[in-house]
Amino acid sequence: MSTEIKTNEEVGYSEVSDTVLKMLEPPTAGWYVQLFICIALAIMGFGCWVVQVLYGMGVAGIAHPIMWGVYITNFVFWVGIAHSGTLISAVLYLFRAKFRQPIYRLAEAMTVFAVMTAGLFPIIHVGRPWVAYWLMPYPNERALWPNFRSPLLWDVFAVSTYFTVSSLFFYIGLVPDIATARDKAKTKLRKLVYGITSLGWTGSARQYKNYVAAYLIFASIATPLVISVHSVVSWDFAVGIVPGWHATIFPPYFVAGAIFSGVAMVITLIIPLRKVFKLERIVTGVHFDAMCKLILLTSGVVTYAYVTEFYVAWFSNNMFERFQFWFRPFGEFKPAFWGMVFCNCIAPLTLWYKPFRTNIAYLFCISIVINIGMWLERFNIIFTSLARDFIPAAWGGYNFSWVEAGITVGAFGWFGMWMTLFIKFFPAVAIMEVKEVIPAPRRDGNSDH
Amino acid sequence: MTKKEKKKNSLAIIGQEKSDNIERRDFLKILGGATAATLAGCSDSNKQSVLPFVKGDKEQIPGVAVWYNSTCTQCDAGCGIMVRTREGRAVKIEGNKNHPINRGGLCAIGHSSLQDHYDPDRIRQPLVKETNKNGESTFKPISWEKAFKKIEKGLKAKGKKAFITGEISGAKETLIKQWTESNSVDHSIYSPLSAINLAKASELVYGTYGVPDYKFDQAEVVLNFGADFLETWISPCGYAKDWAKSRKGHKPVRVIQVEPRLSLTGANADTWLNCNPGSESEVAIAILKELLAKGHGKNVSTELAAQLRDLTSNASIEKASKISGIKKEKIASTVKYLSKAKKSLVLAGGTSVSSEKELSLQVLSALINLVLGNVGKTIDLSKVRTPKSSLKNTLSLVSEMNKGDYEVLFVDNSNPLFSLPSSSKFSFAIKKLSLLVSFSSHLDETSKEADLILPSSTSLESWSDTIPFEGVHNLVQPTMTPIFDTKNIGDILLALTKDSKHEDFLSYLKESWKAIQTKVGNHDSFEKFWEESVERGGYFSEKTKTVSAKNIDSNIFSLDFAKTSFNKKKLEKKSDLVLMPYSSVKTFDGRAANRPWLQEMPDPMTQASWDTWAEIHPETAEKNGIKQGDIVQVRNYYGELNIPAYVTEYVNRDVVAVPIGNGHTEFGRYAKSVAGGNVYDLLPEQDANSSLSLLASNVTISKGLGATQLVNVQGSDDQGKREIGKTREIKEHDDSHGDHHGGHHEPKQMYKQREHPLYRWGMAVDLAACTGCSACVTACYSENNIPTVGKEVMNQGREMSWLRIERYHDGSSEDLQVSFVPMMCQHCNSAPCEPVCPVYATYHNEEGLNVMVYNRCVGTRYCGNNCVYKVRRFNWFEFEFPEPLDMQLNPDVMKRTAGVMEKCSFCVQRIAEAKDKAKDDGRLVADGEVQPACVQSCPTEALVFGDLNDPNSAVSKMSKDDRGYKILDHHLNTQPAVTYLDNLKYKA
Repeated sequence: MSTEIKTNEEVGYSEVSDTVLKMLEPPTAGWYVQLFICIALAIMGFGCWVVQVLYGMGVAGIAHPIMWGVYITNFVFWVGIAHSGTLISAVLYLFRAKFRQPIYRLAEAMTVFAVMTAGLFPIIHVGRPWVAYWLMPYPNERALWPNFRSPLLWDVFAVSTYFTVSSLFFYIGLVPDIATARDKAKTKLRKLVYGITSLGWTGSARQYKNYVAAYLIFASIATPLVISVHSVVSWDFAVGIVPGWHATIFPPYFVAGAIFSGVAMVITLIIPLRKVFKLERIVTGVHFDAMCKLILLTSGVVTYAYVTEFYVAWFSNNMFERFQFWFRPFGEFKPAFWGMVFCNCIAPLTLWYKPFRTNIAYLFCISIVINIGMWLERFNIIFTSLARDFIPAAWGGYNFSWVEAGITVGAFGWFGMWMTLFIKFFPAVAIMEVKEVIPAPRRDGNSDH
Repeated sequence: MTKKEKKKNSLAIIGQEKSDNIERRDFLKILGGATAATLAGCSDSNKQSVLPFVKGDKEQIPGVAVWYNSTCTQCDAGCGIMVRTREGRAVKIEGNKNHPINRGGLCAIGHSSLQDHYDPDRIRQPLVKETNKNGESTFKPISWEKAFKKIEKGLKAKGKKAFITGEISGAKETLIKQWTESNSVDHSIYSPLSAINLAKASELVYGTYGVPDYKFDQAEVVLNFGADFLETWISPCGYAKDWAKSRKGHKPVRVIQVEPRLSLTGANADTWLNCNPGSESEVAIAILKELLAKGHGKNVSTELAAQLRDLTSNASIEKASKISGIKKEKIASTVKYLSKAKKSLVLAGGTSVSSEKELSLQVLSALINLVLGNVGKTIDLSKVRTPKSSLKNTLSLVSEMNKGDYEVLFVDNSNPLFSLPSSSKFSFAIKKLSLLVSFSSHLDETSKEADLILPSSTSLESWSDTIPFEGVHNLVQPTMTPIFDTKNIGDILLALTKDSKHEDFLSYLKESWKAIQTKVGNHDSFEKFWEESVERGGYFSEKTKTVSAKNIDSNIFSLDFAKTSFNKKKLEKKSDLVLMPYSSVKTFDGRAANRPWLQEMPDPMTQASWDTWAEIHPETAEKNGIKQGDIVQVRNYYGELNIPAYVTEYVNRDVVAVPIGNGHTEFGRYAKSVAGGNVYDLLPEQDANSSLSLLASNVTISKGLGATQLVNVQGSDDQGKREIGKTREIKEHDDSHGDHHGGHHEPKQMYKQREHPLYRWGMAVDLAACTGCSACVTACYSENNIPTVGKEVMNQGREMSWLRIERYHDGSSEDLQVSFVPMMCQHCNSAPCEPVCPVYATYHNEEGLNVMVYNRCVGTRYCGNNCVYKVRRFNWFEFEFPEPLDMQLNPDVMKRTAGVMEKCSFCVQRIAEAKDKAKDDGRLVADGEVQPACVQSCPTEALVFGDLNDPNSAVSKMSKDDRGYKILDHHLNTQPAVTYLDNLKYKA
């Protein structure tokens, strides 16, 4: 892998179409291997869940007093991952940030699949998953309604709304590109499927006008959701009374953290994709550079939030809070805390140095480091806070369990499975929008102007 | 009739009627008719009684509990119990509030006797041991007749015959005596923890053999050498009741505990004087000297006074301090307190003083009592308990058995193979017998070796009586038919006697009660006397004669009052560490080891469960390279233990303290799960003292192989400034409890508060009376069908207890303070758990209860996280109740399934029952009418429950007490319904 990325390379319209659509060509053995691994992991995770349903929640490592554990950590982690997709596609669209064009499709797909993964965890987490539907406000003969005061119910609404809107937004963005795929499809089946899913897109001026309007509307709807979803998820904690949870800083802190981890995840995904499908001329150093700046910003916000938490714990003179924030860096779970500080606060600082920002291999590594850090952040919030709350006699620890590990790994398999299928069946880079931002070709074929 | 036909039949009938517009009522009639028609077609071979109890026992109404008054036979205290039965099964045991000994409370061991009764490992029918060709022996069922024949054959044997029993009294004692005498069987009584030395000292000094009745509520100062009177010593429920009465009163009794390991009683005492093991006599003699010097002892004869001065001539506080390791000032202040008190009490006893020189200490403490004039004031000699156990007899029997003199041995209510030291060589002795007959209902170590087992019924299934002391005649009555094919031991002996006079033990018992009636001077007809006694649970006469101290036995002056020395036989290395086996409320003397409730119940002092352990001082541990949780090898010439170390400052540097009763190799699944060795086996040869010397041997300790996790439920011992358990100092010369500012003030609320129109249930917990004995914990398990989870699951932090005793260590080891805080659901008025439940599975009802709807629970566990008091328990698994433990389940309480949350309900089923009753009578529930299981069980009445809306209820008054506070409320505004009254202690 080349370490130095060339920027400002010139690309033509047809090259964009060809390069992207090449990704849809019949899969190679490598693709099958990847799909097989992902499905195998997902099945393994499912098997672990079956074990948990059969024997009880006790097969997971959670216990009194840490009653929320890896599952909720994973839930928050995946919701966080889901964040950057909408941020890149909607918010940056509204801000007219051109660098989003080649990466937003992948980010959006990642969003949809990450929400699909995140949505599994509450069901995996509850003691009686067969009655989890009681959280839905559906009319029933017992006239029983869910408790609208519970943040968990807000979660149900927030996540399902986010899933609906981001899926629709994702699909709308896909329509013109599916049409391109339809036009270039070689098999009848593909023609048929793309034909139906492209909704009769011809690329006419009227269609384009409507399309842009619809896209703008969805972008406007999706933008507040970027803020709201993770704010609501953060309320699961902030509304709780547990020291270490009960803080007003949580919503902005969670949103920033989500963008931070989401952008890192986009980098993690796009680097191998770019290599395998030879997208180097479309996804260029400019884009990585821009994403790194976003990471720097959000890393800064997250670090500020960490410091603020400690400051507030000290300033409040609340002994429970003070103890909690003493316990995090020096207690039983200190490796998780210091790991988090290294991954989220220290390691990203290297990105201030431009050569690091444009070094693909380094970026790949640091994006993974950031995601580990963000997982640890949620671990810290959930585990350490619950391990030491008000009653010292009830303090406790955590027992690792292979069932939790299996389900966690299985979730990556599940996510990977959808991503793998997606890149083979739909254009993973927005052909139309990339074309919008490349210079219009000149008649002489020389675009040097 | 096939299914199809059935369907056709019923459809046809309904079809006929369909033309007439049928009403719902008619439809049901038709349906009933159709069912009857189909049933009529069934063959007779399928006949079953579908509805039991239609005609049945007039006492048994389905759904209505029947209570029987009876007596607890778990230890020799003789507490009265009430057994709750439902549909013919005993489901709960409670203390009888009208009984003169316990007066309502009952300890954890008493509660758990239900699990002794429903023990899944109980022997289910008579068994005979058969040995096959390979020499493997197995137990085979045998009929009672054949078993009796075998015994009769055995009784004809030429060799000598013996019978070992535990402590006995009443009709059973007479019957056993009669039977052993008529069959020329030598009878020996053995109970490992007996107060023989105390009884003897009482005879030597006061002239009355036996354990006197102590009046803790009368004393101002109690100097206590090791007697664990709040946990297991003699009659803990009764003593705790009196102690608490004084502690709650205007002038609380000051307790000064002298012992090398802090016991539960020590933890509740005002002062703990940590003395070196075996040095109590030195302290006692110095105190005696000082008291004499202060002019006490004018009440004794001049001759005795001179003798006492002579006796104490060599003693001094300096010497005592040097030998015992207690600071001089502490001994001097003890003398000061004793000297100033109008009434005081000096006690000695328990496992920490049970050395070979215990008698000397007992005599000294009796002398101090005499000098202080306590006899007749705080010591009542009219009600003495007379322990009959004799180690001397038992040991001589065993040595003769070893010589091969004995051919047949019977064992009842005793497990000598476990509880006799291995140095007695009992295990060899039984090999020389030709017949060993056990009457045990458990396959314990001794019965496992038996050739023949005739299982006796438990005390919940049989008639008997006990007489703990003069004036208290307890009756034990059957509360249900025997679960298994077992018989009352009395019936077994009568069957063997071929006594034609008595058809069963009941008639034998009645006859002996005729004598009791005459003795107590009751003039009713016997039937009336008997029926009333059965209903009451015994006959208790008020009459007491005063017995004063008689002349002293001058033999006492020849006793050796020096510090005890310990057996050092063939120690691996030089060691001054003394092994101190102690009895705890978890396993007592070993008999309670197979009860999951007790094994699971955290030990109040160490908070450990499902294990046995060695308590070691941190310095000693460091010296020997031992860390918390290491396996430590405790070893002497006689044996070794491999058990987890519990490093604690609350034990003397020279002591390794090990709880008695675990390390069973037989007895049942729960007892066997706690391995590591039996501490009785490490006891050296006994000098045929009258009772077992537990504090007798030096041991070496070293780090054993491997490490283990000692299951410890306490997260942290240090409560910091969180004020979970608050303690207030009792100021001297003050009638009130310290400062007057205090009490819980309801803070101003911003929002409109909930209204509780009729009742508002609440609780008050007086920490000054709570001893941490954990009776409430067991009662809660029993009442609310709480499953025990076992060691492994418990180690994961998944115990299901709805009520726990939190134990905090405050202060330094010099000036220690231990706080016990019973923690149950606080039923907060502003409960953090309620708003976070997404499905309303937990909500606040209009009676102030935080209600849990199990059926609605999805299991998000958010409530558990948000519960400030961490009292919510999640069902991590589907827990099992192995048959017949399931027969104990309370039918009024639902058994929860896996995946739902549960917690203390304030025994809502009892509230419902009381409300139903009140509604029938057209009134409101009266104060004290509802008692949750924990409140009912509390031997010290530390817990009080009632309606907070009623300003005159006991709980309302207590909630407004100066000492009241609500845990964490001023930080979090949870507004709990439970008010705690802070603990009261004198400055150490």
